[in-house]
Amino acid sequence: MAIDPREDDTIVALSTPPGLGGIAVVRLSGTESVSITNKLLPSNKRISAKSHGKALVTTISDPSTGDTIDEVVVTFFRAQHSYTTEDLVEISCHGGEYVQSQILYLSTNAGARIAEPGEFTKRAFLGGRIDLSQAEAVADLISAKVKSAHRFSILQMQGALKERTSSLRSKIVELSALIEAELDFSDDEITPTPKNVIAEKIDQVLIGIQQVSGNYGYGKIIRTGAIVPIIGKPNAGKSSLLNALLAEERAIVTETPGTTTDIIECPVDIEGFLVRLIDTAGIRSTSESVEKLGVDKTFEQIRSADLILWLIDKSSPIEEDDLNIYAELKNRNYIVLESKSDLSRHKSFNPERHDIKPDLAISSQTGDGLHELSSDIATKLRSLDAGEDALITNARQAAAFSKSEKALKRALSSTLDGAGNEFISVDIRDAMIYLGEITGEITTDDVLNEIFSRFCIGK
Amino acid sequence: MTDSYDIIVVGAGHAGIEAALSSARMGNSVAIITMDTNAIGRMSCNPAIGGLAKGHLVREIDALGGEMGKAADATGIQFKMLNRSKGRAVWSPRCQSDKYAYADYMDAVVNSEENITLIGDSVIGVSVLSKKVEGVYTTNRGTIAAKAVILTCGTFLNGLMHTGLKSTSGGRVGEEKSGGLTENLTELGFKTGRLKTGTPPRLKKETINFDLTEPQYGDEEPRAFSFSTKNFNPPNIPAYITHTNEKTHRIIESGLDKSPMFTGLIKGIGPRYCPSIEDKIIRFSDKPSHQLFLEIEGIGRGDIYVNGFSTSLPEDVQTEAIRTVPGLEEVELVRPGYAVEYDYFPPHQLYHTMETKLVKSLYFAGQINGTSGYEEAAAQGLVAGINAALKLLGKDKFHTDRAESYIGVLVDDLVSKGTQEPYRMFTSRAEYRILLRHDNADIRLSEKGYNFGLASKKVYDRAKYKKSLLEESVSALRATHLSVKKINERLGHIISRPADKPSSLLQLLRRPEVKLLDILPIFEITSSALAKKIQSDPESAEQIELEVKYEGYMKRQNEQVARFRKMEHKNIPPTFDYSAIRSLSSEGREKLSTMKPESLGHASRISGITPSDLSLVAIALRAYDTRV
Ligand SMILES: Cc1cc2nc3c(=O)[nH]c(=O)nc-3n(C[C@H](O)[C@H](O)[C@H](O)COP(=O)(O)OP(=O)(O)OC[C@H]3O[C@@H](n4cnc5c(N)ncnc54)[C@H](O)[C@@H]3O)c2cc1C
Ligand SMILES: Nc1nc2c(ncn2[C@@H]2O[C@H](COP(=O)(O)OP(=O)(O)OP(=O)(O)O)[C@@H](O)[C@H]2O)c(=O)[nH]1
Ligand SMILES: [Mg+2]
Repeated sequence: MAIDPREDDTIVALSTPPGLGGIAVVRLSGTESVSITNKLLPSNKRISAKSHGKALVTTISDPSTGDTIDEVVVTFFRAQHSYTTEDLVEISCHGGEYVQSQILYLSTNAGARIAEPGEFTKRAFLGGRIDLSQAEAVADLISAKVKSAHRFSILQMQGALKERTSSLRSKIVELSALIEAELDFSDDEITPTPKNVIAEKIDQVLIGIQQVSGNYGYGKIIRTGAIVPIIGKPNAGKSSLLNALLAEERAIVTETPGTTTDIIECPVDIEGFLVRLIDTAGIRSTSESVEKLGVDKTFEQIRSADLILWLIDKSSPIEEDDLNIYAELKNRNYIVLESKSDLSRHKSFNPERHDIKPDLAISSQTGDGLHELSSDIATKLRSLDAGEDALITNARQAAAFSKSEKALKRALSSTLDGAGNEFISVDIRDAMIYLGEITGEITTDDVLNEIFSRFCIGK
Repeated sequence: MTDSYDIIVVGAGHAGIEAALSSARMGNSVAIITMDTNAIGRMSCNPAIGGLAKGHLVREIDALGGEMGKAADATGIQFKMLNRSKGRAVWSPRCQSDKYAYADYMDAVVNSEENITLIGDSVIGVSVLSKKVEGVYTTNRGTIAAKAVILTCGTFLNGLMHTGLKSTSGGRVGEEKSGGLTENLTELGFKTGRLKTGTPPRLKKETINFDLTEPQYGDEEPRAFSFSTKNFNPPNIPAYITHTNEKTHRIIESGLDKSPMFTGLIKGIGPRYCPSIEDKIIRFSDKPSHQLFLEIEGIGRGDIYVNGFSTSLPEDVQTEAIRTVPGLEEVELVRPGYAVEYDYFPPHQLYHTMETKLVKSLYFAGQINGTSGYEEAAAQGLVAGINAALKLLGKDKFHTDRAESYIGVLVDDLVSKGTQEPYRMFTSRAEYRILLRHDNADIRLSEKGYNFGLASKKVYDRAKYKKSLLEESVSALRATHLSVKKINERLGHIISRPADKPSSLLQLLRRPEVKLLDILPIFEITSSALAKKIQSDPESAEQIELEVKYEGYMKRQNEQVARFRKMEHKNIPPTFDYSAIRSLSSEGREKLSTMKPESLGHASRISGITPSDLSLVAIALRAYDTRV
């Protein structure tokens, strides 16, 4: 079955150009846009389908883990009063692409579909909001975009993702043939496959799918750069390190702790990786409100980072603040840097006692250790590659994989529960359709072909 | 010529019969023109009706008011519910038929239908005036006029039969081919292709030693195909199972140089699901043995059908090979197996009504569309007959979609995907399989059948009753709650783990180990009338249980259906001009222009149509609607 632009489902897309910094707006349009958005919001701060045009400050989090993604402003526009003439929700979030694509990704998990190019405008037209000449311009836009998307898809076709997805999908087709053959032919003709074998095969495909989707993060690093915040307590030398790595004075450096209060993001090429270095506000417990806001943002950066550079200042004691930061880094990907290596060691600088192991000593002033740091960053980023050639590079593919994974999990549990093949097949088919969305392959005939090539069938 | 009818049906096979009966019963004067008026409703191949997925088709034909199910019930010699070892959602009825009795039954029904005139002649062309059909040309009677024509020519168009390297022209053994019609239609612009199918030898019953075979009977409690069959008490005559062996296979291999298939004599494409024995031996050379079923073709008749041994090898090779099979050591053939090649018309040239896109009021149904099987043919015949009648009555067309019936899947597959090999129905072709069960065919379709004047009021009333009993029972089960104590007291011996919280009967029934029968006594306390109704109606009881146990899956399928239907309801007018959409891909434009999809959903199932093509069509459609 071809992918259909299900005209009535809820779509989601980024409506400001993706990029660094600033505010980004993610839009949802369709009957489910409110309910989908609400799945990502805390139960006490949700939007109501009655509050047309009102902005609500709230937080988006991942419903499966509970992790907060971003503090956002959500606005609801009622059908007929919105651009698309459908229920429309705008989520204004902070700039980072990570945050944006997380919101897209979570929305698709919650039931939205990534919009086709020009689809919001198309709906505006279908709803009678814009006229035919405008719509024709949109049609041209769609075809132009599709052309470039097509070029991309050709590249991708040759690439590993397509191959890997195809091979996973053909495993599902085989699986499906085993399941369907039993339903379509009598026991005289076909020996049934034991349920544990089916379960095992589902599990194998699941593992493959998880491997590929596990690499979504790395795919994003390759395509849009790695998010690498520099953190540490005030005056640790973060801004100095940023400047040193950029070889340019971008951030203000002073002797006063607490100089940097907002984040600065600067792209830099490190051994072929696009690294988006982020200078952050020093972390300390503070009651001062501007600084507190900065600190909060820093914590947010830590959560969405691909790699964290943590500075501990050799010329000052290890303090409560350091330990708080250290606690925050648990289970994250980070490098511990002993900064200001040109200075002498403070007598209470005793990281070992707190089980902190510096990876490298550096000095932004003398350049000591900076080369090693570059290659350590590259090594760490490379290690994020799960060894998969197949790279999921956009949220749409990630959503397809995630839906396919969910369907297979359901199929697996039905199988283990002893459900009949006709029910297992409902989910197996779904899994196949979702992967087919990436490779553009169709379903039913493939399964029958597989059955005919495998089984001696027919009387 | 003075002869004139509302509708002419060409052919009296399974498609022709349903087409003629339905359109005649809907009030039209119908002429069946067929080459041999003594060959009505013949089974060319297997003496059986139904089977996996095909059984569903028969039940649906019956619910709509067709004849096939009734005929099968009246003439079946053993009935079996297939897939009984699997879930109820995929059970499918089959019977073996007395094929002579079946044909006699159909002959009688057709002859007693007063709106039908039976004419023995061969149709060699259709007469067309300004893209509308006017009648047909025949060999002996010249032109016969009609307002609509339904072609159901089966395997007869330029039919060529092969046994070994010898080929004879003919549509079926003992019957002549039909010549000229293909050429006439090609001239009118129709595209044609060539397909092939085969049949096994028939054996002389008295030369078989049945002691060396194993009898296989039908069900002890047979189920009828027809929703109107009552007091069903058919015979249960066994088939006999035997097997091929290495020796059989060696002999077949030695004859391959005289096989019309392997020497390339046959050009038409055959069905993979119905391979010849030579095919099976080559493609699955590791299988040392294949199962054969010896099936009686008619009570008191001397011919036996060898299910599993379809072949077009030379007669002497067939005989030698089959004599290696236990029980068949001294067997004699009534008639050798053969393959037949014939012309068909790729069905993308049709609308969902089975009307051709090229010529108005001309319909194709059955094997002429590239399908194979009696049930597939009958289903199409019914759709064509109903639609031809509705059109003459000036009423809306009859359309049943993929989410409503296997017939819908069949028609939609044919018109949107076309077919390269003979098309047969499989349950895996139906996306919404667990909703399209044989047991609820009446609930799904009898209302339509009744409104056409085809299905009886009894059947329709019963379907309405079943549906409301189902709905009522499900909600009553949901509303009946039991305390923890009650559950453990009354169901403790059944449930796998004791209850720790109160639940409704519905929740309890959802447990795999709990059956509806187990909870009926409890249900009886609160809803005694309802429980009694269920008790006295095993058919409904089965449905209720199924509906409850698999509610989750059913719900998901229903959601899928809702999504599917939204696209289906976006109609595209037949006059829609794709060349006016500037940005359409050239492949998309070409495919859409030739296929003329009837809805956006239909367009999405055409291979090669991309999502962006669809978006563009959606936009243009809206513009079209606002302009018109
Ligand atoms: C040798 C053989 C093997 C087969 N094997 C299988 C199989 O293995 N499995 C399976 O599922 N199906 C098989 N079939 C197919 C099955 O028989 C058909 O699918 C089914 O009968 C088709 O029904 P129909 O109504 O379309 O055509 P038919 O039953 O073929 O009827 C065609 C009718 O049209 C008439 N007719 C044709 N042309 C003209 C004309 N120009 N003028 C007047 N009358 C005309 C004929 O006289 C006949 O009455 C086989 C058929 C044959 C012949
Ligand atoms: N000797 C020496 N001094 C350094 C080095 N790095 C930073 N400093 C000094 O340390 C002080 C703080 O440096 P910054 O880079 O502003 O520190 P920061 O971590 O950004 O501080 P905040 O933004 O206030 O949190 C400045 O006076 C720097 O000159 C270094 O490698 N060696
Ligand atoms: Mg700073």
